[in-house]
Amino acid sequence: MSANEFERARSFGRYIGMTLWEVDDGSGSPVIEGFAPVRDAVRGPGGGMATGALLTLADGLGGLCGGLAVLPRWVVSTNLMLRVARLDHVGPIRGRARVLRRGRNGVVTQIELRDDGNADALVGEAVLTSAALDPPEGMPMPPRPVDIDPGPLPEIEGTLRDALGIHEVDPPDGYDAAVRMEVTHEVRNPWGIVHGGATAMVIEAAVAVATPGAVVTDTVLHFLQPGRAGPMEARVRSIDRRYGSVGLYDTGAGGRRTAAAVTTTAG
Amino acid sequence: MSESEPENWGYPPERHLLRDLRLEAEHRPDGTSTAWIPMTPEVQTPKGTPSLGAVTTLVDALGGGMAIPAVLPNWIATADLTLHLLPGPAGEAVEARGQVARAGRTTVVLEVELFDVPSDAPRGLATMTFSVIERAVEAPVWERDTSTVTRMTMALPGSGFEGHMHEGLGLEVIDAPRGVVELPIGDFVLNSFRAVQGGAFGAVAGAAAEAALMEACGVPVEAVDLHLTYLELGRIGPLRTATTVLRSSPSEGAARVEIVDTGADDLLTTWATVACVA
Repeated sequence: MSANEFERARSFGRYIGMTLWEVDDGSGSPVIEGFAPVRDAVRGPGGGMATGALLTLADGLGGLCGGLAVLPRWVVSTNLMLRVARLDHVGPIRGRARVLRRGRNGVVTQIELRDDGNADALVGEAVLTSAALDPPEGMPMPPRPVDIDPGPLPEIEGTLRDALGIHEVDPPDGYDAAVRMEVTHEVRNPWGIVHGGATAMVIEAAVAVATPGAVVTDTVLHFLQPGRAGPMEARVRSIDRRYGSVGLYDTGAGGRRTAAAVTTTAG
Repeated sequence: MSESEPENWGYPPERHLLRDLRLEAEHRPDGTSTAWIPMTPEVQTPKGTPSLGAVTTLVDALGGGMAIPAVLPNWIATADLTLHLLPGPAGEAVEARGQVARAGRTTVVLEVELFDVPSDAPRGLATMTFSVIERAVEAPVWERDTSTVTRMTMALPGSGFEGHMHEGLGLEVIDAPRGVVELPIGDFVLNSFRAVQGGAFGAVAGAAAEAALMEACGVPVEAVDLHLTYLELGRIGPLRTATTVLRSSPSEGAARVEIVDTGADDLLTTWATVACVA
């Protein structure tokens, strides 16, 4: 299996055109660099790449970096935190992930995102915490050094949110807004689990419904349990206009909660 | 309901951050918990918003008290803490209501809602992640009866800050525009493992970000939003910050704060980002 086949098989990141490669900085720890174009389909209300897409890029960079750091084990994302520095981007967005801490049972990576088309202006910083686990049987291991291009970008009419079929639904009592996303092959990873990037996008979409006109800037995203069946439903409770408390539920799996997020909005 | 007397505790010592905050907690058999700290000017910003460090300590203490019984006979290590405060004058106290969002084999995730007392108005949100670890020999013996409601306070008669909490901690701003702040490590801020209390890192990160962002934003700011990742224990000290401004405007800003233990070869203990508002 080539590096490209490995990454294309496991990554929702192809939807944002995420290109990744491994860098040897002499530290002995893996460093992953990459980029994604800012095409219209992923632009948010701030004019640049939407925060859900930035989270997808950060998850891809940090997840691959963390996975390589714990080989022959692999990782599952447990917590992704993003602080956005600016919302207007020219693109492409360039990223770099490095290991902050590698422990027995997990790894913490830091991801820096910069705007390649705007003199490398800082776009945001993220920290991804991942748990180390024994990879499922049959999981392909990446050839080293990793060097991955996403292949042709999927054709998208409208926005990526539209392409994923994310749509508003009536929120249950106690919530301010809700959206749903069907779980299709395109949003699952090879183990049948809804990808972290798709999780981030459906959460951002729910907050956009709850606070029209506002832009999600900072996000804390806890991955609680795998989402598999679907539809996935993101429900928002707004805490003032500044914060949103979001739960993601797998309605096809007894309504169990698969992710919890706190978002900060501006505007 | 049973109430633990402070003298039954070997930890914390007589003068301690948790005692001076006059923290009180109630743990219930259903796994939910509530904790309070009274609001006084010593634990508030000049505009009256609850201090980021005080509320971080409240959340950290509440979280520890909830996560330990969820993993017994194992033990926990705090992995991360996030806090999202609404700015504005506080009420008489801040109440934190916690629930376990996930208790798995390797991690426990908690969610905490914050309210003003007595208005019950929302004050914010917090989350915490704990790694489940094998219980070390030196870990404190866990004596709380989880089958009954337990209410406890760490305050002693006379507990409370005499000056602002940051003075009580010994926080010193070394270089405000660069966000360099130092915290000496003493018994006052140590936890039961003789490492710096998780909440104290919130105070350090908040003070460093406020100092740097006041310069960058051009107006006084107060820290309201914290993403904190614990990497290593702080044991020797002083802790020292390096701060990088991520964004700034006249109304708000955000900064990254790295906290190292200068007495341990600048060991990187904590990675934080903090958002402040004018």
